[in-house]
Amino acid sequence: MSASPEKIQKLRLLIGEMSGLQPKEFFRAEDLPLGIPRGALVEVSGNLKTEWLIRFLRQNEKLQAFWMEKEQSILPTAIQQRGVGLDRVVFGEVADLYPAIRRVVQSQLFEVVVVPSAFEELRVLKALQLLAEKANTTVFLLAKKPQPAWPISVQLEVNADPAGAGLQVNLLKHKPAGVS
Amino acid sequence: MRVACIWFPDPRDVVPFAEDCLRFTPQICIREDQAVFLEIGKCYRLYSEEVFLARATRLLEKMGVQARVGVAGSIEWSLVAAKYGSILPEQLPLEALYELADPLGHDPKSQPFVQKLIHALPQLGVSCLGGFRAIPRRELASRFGSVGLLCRQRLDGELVFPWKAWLPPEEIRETITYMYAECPGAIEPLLFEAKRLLDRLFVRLRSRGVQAASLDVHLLCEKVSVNPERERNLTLDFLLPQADAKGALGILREFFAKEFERRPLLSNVEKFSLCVSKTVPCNAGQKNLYHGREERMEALGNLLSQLSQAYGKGSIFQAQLVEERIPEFSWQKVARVEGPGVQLKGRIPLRPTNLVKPQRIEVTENHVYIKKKPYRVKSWSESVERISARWLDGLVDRTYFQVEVENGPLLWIFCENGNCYYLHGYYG
Repeated sequence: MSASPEKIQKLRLLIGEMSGLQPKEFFRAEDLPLGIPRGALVEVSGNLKTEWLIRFLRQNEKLQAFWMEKEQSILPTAIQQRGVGLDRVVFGEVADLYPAIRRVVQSQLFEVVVVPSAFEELRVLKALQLLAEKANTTVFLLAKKPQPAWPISVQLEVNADPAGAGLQVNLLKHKPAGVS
Repeated sequence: MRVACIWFPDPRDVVPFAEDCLRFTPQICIREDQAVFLEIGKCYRLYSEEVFLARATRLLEKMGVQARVGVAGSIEWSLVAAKYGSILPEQLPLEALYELADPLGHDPKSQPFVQKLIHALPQLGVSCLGGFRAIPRRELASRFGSVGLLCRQRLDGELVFPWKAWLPPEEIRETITYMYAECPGAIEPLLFEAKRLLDRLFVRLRSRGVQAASLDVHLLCEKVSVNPERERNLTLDFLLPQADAKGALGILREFFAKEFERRPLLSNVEKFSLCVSKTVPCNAGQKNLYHGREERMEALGNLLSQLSQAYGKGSIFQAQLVEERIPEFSWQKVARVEGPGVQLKGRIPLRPTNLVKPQRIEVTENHVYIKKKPYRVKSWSESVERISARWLDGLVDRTYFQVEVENGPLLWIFCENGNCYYLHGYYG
């Protein structure tokens, strides 16, 4: 009989406390009882990934986000309509994403950085993961399809609920809770 | 009080001339692009009016500037004297009322009223200010309103225009000069020197309670045959005002990297100067010791300015909504969001998360073709939004629909001219 992911996560946190390690922080996410870990790479794929991300920002009201794209397609009007204040979001339209992300993450000024998943090289993801962990910043990668890369701690697939009740969130991977 | 007016028939920047006139008196007032006023009454022990006129004429000759000088007992009358050559009402045309009503040009709203007054007076047989003075005062208010009364009071010397003191703009500049071959023309040595200059500049700014919004950089290189362009004047505009030398140094590094990549320095630097050209007020009080909000805002301003410098103006921004129905114009880029902005709740339908440039698509009964790729339509909503705007300059008349397709996001499509369909965005 395998233990549930929630129990595994609780155990891990308990062990971490006992060994004097800093407990990992988690952001609240309505559809995810396990939460989103802070200082990790999170990949979100599916047809409604942007909707889910905006909902996540709405649920965590104090987070400051940096939204970066190669070509601006996100509509700020839509973000505000969905309940996220535009004073919390800084936008970047940058051709070469990686150096810009590095600087933003290293600055430790934003709890959340959102970028399209345009990195195929494993070493780039590994470097991003280390940077994110050191800066305690969560980097969300918006992908068309999930990619098998070990530096990514959490993978979600978000689509429309067939029953028509909003979003259907499929947890593909959650490293801190031992889900894969 | 005796006021001398130096009036320039051709509009020009009067600030350099006003600075030169500080030798006569510290009490100076200016009219933008037109005139400089000097209070010389209190300087009677230093020079007489005749001596002043001679010196002023000589100064104008040296500067190669055409101007007329007039001296009278107030700002408005000295301007009239300089412009028309007389202060006798009988010799002055009605146009002199413009100068009497608003000698410094600070009240453009009074101009139409004075214009009406000047057009009306000839119908009463008045052709000069002497005639205007002859009109009984009790009739002025009812005929010409408050402006007419004001002009009359100035004409009679009852109401003197208040003195608006001008002070020379303070230049916050730090300069360093080098001996031969002391400072190579490369980024790192220049930044090393810039740190010293920036430290001094920002200490001066802090004491004034201001932040730097723009820096002028002046580089003078050694004269060598391979370097035809030895002098460079550059302007660095910060995305957000800076209050810290360390932050400004990072931005200057990006600025020099871009500039010298495009046009490298070809010889050693002889003189390096930084001048703060624009400032904005800042909170000069003690920082709150219990939280680091001010430090965070400064660090954020610094990071965004550096990124903007590195990746181009307009690449890093926040968004502010505007009162515009057309989706692509419903927001604008700003350096920092100020205030709550436009509230959209209940005013417009839910917009898609992603907007694309309107691209023409083909629509059949069961499919939509986007870039020639077919997508089977699962459902086509009723019209969710109708936008009809800009009737005067480029009519926009769109009817929007939400279209659900197989294996794809919810599309936002509009129809224009009845049969042309365009993909404008998607919910995803």
